[in-house]
Amino acid sequence: MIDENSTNLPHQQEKNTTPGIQSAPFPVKQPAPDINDLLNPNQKSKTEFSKFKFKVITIFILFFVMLGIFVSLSIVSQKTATQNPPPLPVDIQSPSPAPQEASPESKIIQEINKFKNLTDAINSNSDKLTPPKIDLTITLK
Amino acid sequence: MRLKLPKLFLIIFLFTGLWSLVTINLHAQTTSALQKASDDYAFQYSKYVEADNSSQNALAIYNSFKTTTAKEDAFQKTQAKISQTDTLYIAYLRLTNEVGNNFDWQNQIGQKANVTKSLSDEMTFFQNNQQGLNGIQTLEQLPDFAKNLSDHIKNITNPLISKTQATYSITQAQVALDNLQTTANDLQVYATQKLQGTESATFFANWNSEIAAIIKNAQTQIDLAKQQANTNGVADSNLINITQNTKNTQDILNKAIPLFNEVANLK
Repeated sequence: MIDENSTNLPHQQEKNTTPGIQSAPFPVKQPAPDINDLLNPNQKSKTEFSKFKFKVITIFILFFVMLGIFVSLSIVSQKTATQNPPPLPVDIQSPSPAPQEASPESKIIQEINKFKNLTDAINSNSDKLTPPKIDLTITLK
Repeated sequence: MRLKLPKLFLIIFLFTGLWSLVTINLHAQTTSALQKASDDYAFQYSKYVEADNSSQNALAIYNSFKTTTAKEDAFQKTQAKISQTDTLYIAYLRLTNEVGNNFDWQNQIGQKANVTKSLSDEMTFFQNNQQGLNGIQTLEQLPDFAKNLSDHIKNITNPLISKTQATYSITQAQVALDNLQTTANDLQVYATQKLQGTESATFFANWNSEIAAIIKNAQTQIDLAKQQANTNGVADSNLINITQNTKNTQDILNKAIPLFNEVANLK
């Protein structure tokens, strides 16, 4: 059987066949072994391990970067919320759509809301300051 | 393919960790100092109740059996109860101070420094009292020590806290009233641009007379509250009257809101 794709001539193929051993129906071209694998068989697994290490380190770095971003965003949003608390609803229709700069109308609404909040705050925490009921009487017979 | 499952676990682990950290961070930010002080006060009170029960039981056993072991136990538990009373009042004073940090004092800020100093001095008293308690070694010494503490709480601490509460209420009422005046002035400027000629003049004459009546009535209530607060010490009955006066002020000030809205809605 002659392999048309083979580079060997038919008579060369005959020569390569060892007597008594069944040869492959066609010549198998083995890939050339890596010289590094031959010199150091552990090298391949080491390379895989270092690739894995690299991935883990990358994921950790990404994790901390994301964590930093999340924490910063949450702090910024918290500060913004504290500095600009949402106005309480009043019986006034707010201008729609909301203007970019504070219009005289919205300034007035903010002032009314501020007054309303200050008024609502009167005595608002007095219930928190109920004195504790204690009894320090010690009777010795 | 070999790395897929560990990678998946790793990613789930990392995102769970990330989510937990963000949640903890947000929770820590939203828990205010006032809430922490309030929680601490409630916690210290529950510890006081436990200490009180233990002390009462130990004293009952000692009074029945009169053994040295029972006396030692009664001493330890009663001393712990008195110590916890000090801790409880420190937490209470801290909460009282924190309430004052949570509203806008505006031009009344000078009073805040006085309030903070008085409360701080009182906290020092309880800290010193706790140290003095450690020097006591016999059960017989504890009744007098506890009575002195009880008298101090009754004559100094409780009136101080009542006065502080009165100051808070009056200050909040005064700040709201001052703000009413400012808001009324700004609204008048705003509405002058909307109304023209004689229509404007008559509208504001009527509107201003309403606002002036509100200011006058509110100020009367605040002055009554101040008179009550200026009497020697603020007794419980005074505090009730002061709270009622500031509540009346609040009701009067609320009448201004429809008037404000009327002007804000002018076309």
